[in-house]
Amino acid sequence: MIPYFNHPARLALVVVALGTTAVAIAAIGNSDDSKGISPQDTPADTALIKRGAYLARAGDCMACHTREDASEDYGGGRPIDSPFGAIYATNITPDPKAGIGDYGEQDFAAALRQGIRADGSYLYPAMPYPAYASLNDDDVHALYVYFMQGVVPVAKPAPETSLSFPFNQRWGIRAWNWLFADEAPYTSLEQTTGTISPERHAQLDRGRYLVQGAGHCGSCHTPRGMFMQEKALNDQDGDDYLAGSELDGWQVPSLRGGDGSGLRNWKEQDLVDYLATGRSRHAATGGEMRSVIQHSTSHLNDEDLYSIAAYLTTLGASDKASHASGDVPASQATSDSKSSSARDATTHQLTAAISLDEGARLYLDNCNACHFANGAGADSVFPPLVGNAQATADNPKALISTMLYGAQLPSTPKRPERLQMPGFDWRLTDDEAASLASFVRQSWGNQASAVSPEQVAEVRRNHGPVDATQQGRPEYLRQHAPIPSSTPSSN
Amino acid sequence: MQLGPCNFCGFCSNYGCLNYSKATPQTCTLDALKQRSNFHYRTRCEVTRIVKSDTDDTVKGVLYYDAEGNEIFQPAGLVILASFPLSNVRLMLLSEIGQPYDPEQNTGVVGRNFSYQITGSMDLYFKEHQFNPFISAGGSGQVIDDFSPDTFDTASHGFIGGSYIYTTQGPGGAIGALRTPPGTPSWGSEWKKQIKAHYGHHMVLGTTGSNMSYRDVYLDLDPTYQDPHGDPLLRMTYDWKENDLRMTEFMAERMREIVTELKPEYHTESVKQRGDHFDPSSYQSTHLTGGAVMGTDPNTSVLNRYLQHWDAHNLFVMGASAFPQNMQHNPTGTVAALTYWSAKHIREQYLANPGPLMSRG
Repeated sequence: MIPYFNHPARLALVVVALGTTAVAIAAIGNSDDSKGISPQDTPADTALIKRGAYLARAGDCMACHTREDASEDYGGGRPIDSPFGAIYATNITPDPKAGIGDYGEQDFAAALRQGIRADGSYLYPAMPYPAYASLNDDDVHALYVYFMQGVVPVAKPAPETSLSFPFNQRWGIRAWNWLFADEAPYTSLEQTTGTISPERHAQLDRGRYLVQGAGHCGSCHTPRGMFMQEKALNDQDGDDYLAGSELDGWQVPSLRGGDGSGLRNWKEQDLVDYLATGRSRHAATGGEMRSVIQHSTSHLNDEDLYSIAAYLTTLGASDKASHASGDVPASQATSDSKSSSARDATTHQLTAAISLDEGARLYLDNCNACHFANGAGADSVFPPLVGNAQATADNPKALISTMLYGAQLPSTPKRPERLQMPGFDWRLTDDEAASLASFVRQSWGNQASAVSPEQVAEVRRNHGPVDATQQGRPEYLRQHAPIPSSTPSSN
Repeated sequence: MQLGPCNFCGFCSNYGCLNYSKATPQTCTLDALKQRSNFHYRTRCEVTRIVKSDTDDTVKGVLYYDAEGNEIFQPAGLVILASFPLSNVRLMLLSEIGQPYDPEQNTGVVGRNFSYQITGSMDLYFKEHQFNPFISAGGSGQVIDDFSPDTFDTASHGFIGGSYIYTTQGPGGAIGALRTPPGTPSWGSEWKKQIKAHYGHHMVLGTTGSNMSYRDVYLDLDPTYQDPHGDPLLRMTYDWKENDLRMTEFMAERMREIVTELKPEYHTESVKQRGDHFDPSSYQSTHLTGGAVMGTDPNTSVLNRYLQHWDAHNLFVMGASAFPQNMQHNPTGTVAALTYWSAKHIREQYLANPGPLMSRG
């Protein structure tokens, strides 16, 4: 008698591996992601809940409403830093006390699209309701059904947000909303007769709806004004829309086309690869975008990803693009033959490895094994440094941070491998890191400013010291998978 | 999953690969498994027993110590034992699953047919030729396969089996990859002087040969030595046999023919000869095989042809422990092929209808 065979879902498979020092356990049979679905739900409900779950992914609700340790989905409690203090994301599980279980669908829609809570008070615009205002009624309905029926209630309330005066006066947000938010529903892309097929129009419109609404890409990629408002909420609101910005010292690339754009050489397929996997032939994701890809875009279906990519490639250049550019700026971009000779010159210098300056020598000793003498890296594995948006951004913080503290790609359904770059903070002095960063920013045709040791020191100061046992490990691993400090004495 | 391009650093034989260029589980498998919602893994655990069920024709789980030293029973409907060959055999002996091999009575199966490999090498020094030992990869060698088992009439030369003859530049690790002339001290200024003079001027020829299984070569539980849990360690009873030494002497003659043609300034040999005994302090390869072999007769094998245990149909044992003989080549390819073969039959036949996949005949 083997009890576990009677119940296929509980059939456990145990694999004893690695010299008997590891045990792997798999339940045979696939589990369903929509864990709240109960057996009595009708197929129609199930489909609606699944659609709501998908839209919650598209809206990346998890990014703020789930704590980083991902212990309780949508239980809130994650602090979002604002210039005025931490804003805590709320518990949006269907728990009636701690969450939004007593919200009716109208309450839910008002919070989502207008930033108004069920009790009538105003949400801080850390919640992207100016973007979610574009969501149509069907999608809001699906999201409501999902959050009420497809999410496990969490009874623990999220911490209260308490900003300093005057920012604790939520009534003030009403005026901000009046000035900057737009409650108008989404209006479809105009069909220009004869230029594109109806299919292409539908695809572009779908991409536009996702970018402007659920995806709330503008929250980071559109520059903000004096009152922290996005300077444009959609492509009809001015060419500041998605024209690039800066977040915590990291350049947020412009998503608009044209010379100087972060996406200048990106084809639709490159964008799809990047959004689905965090890697493409042009870049490996880092900074805040890592979480967006991990929790949101990597879960979107191909049709939506191609729609988003198609739409983004239609956005024209912005007048302000150069301000947001991380790629080789148009004004400095040399002709193709000239830039290819600059690329060759660095490649030859590193290959010959004779009379190298400190930066070039440090590159060979620390970077060359993966990024190679030609700075081209390897497609979708090691990002190229030539024309790399972050490496050549006006603000070198992203480059310095990545060099010192490493990077790790998210594991996504299509590309599960969490490729890592180790951190070099333990082996480079401030002077060395500055020489190396300057070399990367001024080689192969890259033309960004030199980096000073003081800039490196500042990044180190803001980061704080690294525990000796964690040295060389990528930042993400240090935070999420620390090495146990000692080995227990079981053997 | 993705592999990074190899930069030929030459460290891959003895080290993990930082560049994601080597097909190891952490590069090619683990992150894909972790994407699955029905997969869990526990590290820093030590499995000490596979637990038999009361009916005796199945197992019901495993006992293990976790990292904190707690002893835990993990129930299971199916157990796949996939550790190193020696650990597979020891765990089955400790768990008393299958009859232990007795070489005197020639009964029992667990620990039977243990085999290894027999290797030899020659180091050639060329004053004029410059090799680049700092550029290398694990798979960058060249092999002569004309003397492999079953490729020629070995009986007329007095042995069965065979060997491949190879040359390679790896592994390129510091110190370990350095060659000095005979008589050079292993440290100090004279060693440094010789390293400078000889670095980049050596090439290696080597053989990796078959090893038959013998009645008096086997694995069992040690009567004296125990691990910290009080469980007996595994005991290996092993020595070289005349057939395999004759084979390797024949291969040394073939390598000498190559050396004669290449005309190095000098060469040194490390080749076993008749009368030599096995020396566990001298590394030659990790390719230990057998001890829990597959077969069609439960009286001479632990597993049936699907790697399913004859005595416990929900226990499957993967790895080179299933090899009845060691037929020279690196075992990884065969291990992978057998694992796919077994997994296919588990998936397509066993799960639908759990029970023995072969009758005991």
